[in-house]
Amino acid sequence: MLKELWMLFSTQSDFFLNLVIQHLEISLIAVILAIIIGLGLGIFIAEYPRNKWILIVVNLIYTIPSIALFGFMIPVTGVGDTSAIIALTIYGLLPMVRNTYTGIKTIDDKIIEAAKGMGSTDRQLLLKIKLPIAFPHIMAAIRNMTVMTIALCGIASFIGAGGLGVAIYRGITTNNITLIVAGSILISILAIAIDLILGYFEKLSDNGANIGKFINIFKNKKVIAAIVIICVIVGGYIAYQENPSNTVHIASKSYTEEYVMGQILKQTIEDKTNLNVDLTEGVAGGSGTIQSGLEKGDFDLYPEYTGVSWMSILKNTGIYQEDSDFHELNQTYNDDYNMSWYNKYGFENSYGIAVTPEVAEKYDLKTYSDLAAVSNQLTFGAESDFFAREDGLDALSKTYGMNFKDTMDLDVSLKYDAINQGQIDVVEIYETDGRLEDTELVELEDDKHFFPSYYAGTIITNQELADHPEIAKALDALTGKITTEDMVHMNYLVDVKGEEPSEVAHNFLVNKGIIGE
Amino acid sequence: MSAVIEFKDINKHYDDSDFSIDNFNLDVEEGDIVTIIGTSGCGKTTVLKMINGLIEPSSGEIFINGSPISNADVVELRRGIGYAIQGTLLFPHLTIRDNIAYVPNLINESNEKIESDVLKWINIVGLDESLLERYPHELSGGQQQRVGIARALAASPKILLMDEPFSAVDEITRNQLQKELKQIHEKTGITILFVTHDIGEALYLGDKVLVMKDGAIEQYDTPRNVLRHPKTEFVDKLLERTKIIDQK
Repeated sequence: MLKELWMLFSTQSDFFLNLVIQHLEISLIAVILAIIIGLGLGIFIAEYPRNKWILIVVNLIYTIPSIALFGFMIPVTGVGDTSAIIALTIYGLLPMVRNTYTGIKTIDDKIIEAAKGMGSTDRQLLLKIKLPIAFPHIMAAIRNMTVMTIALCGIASFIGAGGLGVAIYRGITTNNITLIVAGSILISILAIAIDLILGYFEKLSDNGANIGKFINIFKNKKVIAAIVIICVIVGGYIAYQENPSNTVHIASKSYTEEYVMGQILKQTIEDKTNLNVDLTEGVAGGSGTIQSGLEKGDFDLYPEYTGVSWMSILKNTGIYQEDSDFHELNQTYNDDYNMSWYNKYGFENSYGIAVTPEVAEKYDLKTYSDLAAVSNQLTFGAESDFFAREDGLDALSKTYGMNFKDTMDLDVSLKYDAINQGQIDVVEIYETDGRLEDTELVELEDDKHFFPSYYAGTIITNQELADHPEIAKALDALTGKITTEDMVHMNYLVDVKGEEPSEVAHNFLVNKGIIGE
Repeated sequence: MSAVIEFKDINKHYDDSDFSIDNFNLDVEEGDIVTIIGTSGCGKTTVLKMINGLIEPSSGEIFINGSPISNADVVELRRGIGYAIQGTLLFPHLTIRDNIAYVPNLINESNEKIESDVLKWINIVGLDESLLERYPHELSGGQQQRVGIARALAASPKILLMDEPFSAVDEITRNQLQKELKQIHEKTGITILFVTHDIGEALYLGDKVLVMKDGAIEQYDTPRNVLRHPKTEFVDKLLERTKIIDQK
């Protein structure tokens, strides 16, 4: 494990460095916002106790599970860093508000009275007495909240934000444990490092003597100037990085094939145009989330499947068939969303039914109808959702008149072992599943067209096509270029051989002559 | 002799308490130390806090140098009145220097003036200048009380209000502090109102002693007259206790 980790870090140091920077950027912006807003609210409640209800509201928000809070942000501010920053800021408010409030409220009344009796104005009382004395409380909150935010930022990739969560999430969805561990370790290191630094400041502020010294640091004009300069540089760097006019924003969903396709789109566009590509990988929530991202302008294009967009975006109930329905699909996207199904890559990732070569030979099976005739002697295996879905086993059995001897719920990763070991005879498959390459199976023909078509292609906003016509050219280079076998092989390299999606995509594009070395 | 502080027909009532002050009238002469004594809850602290506006009377008026304080800017008023209270209530986050300089800083004195004030007062209260950079928790109780007095006097107020300032220190230190306060008073000639629950302290320090009970004045006179002619049974009893202690 350690060796694999070391390999991963050394070969992909750029990737991880970039994620660390993104992670710090998102967390620290959220931390700074939470400090400013939380401090303000805490002071406000302490000075005007009538508004104590704010504390209750903030407390309530804190009880919302973090993943749900991230989810709530999607319809409001879309996917991406902004939503993550807002959600993290809201989450960080409670410790700040509560500690600022208690810090001020627990000051000995007599000290306040002495300061007041000596002629302090309310403002002087706050700035010269209350805040400095409450400072250890506030510092403790900042420390707590910062560590919490850095850890929580790990799930911000769930809504398409960057940061180390991207590595973890990609590790989970492509079954790559090393990647999960790598992302987690880096988050822990960040959190511990920041905790130690802030712990040092907190210790300083713990004793009354040092608060004064600590505050005096900030009275020094040079220190203030240094802080301002750092803020300007960081701000400028961020602004420079996000030059919107010549950056294409691509999204991909959170499974192997989409990671690979995202990379293929990114590398092709980078090769064929002068545009910068910002690829947001593994957007959770899938098609619906990315679609709303496209509508809001967070994303410009993404790889999708015809049958999926027909059902989950356009909400059609009928079975999608490529030949008869594609025209209507594309038309509806143009009319309703001002987006296009620009091209199709050639491969299809539909559901299929497969058997072992022995079974195929024994019963002379070629089509689903052949299978139906002998189904009462065979055991069928699939993931549990195939048994629950509307277009699942029940509908399939009805269409073909199948009646299996037995059925078995199996996890995706166990399906192929089960059929190799003879526990099941018939298995439901995804046609581009990389593990198919390791398994000898015979796929049967869906002679009554039960399963919808799932051709892969690009959905792009018409705005982007108009703004950057050169993208169309880049996409044209991919049209019809990727066969189902190509895709199976690429998925195989990632899922089974543990290669990186970016590497797999690069090799494929170079081999096909789509991009240069 | 002119009255520097004058209470005129003061009433104070509380919604949530039976305690009240009714028709309270008092003149404090310029340059006097007036000690205020009485049982706890008799209103002595209330009287003190009405002078610097921490407590507002329900009705009546308080005059300082002849002008009513209800017309005055309360912040300005307070900056002109020194205030030292019970316990060790220095600001824990400020050095001794910044504690003493608190009021001069509030009123934006020049740095030179503040520095000379700080040095003047730390010497007057008998502390070493080396303590200036220390923080309150590094000082003994007696030293903290002295800093408290220096802080109350740093802006050279004409009036000093003290609320049991020496109650938290041991008896030897307290006697010393009382002596020093008397010397400071002789040097500065300011008017001091000094709340205490110790009749010995009241008689020793006061040019006049104000004895209070249940929000009303029992007697207001020189220590000598209070001792010789206790006006009420309550005053008599209060003195009884000291006499017994003295005989011992």
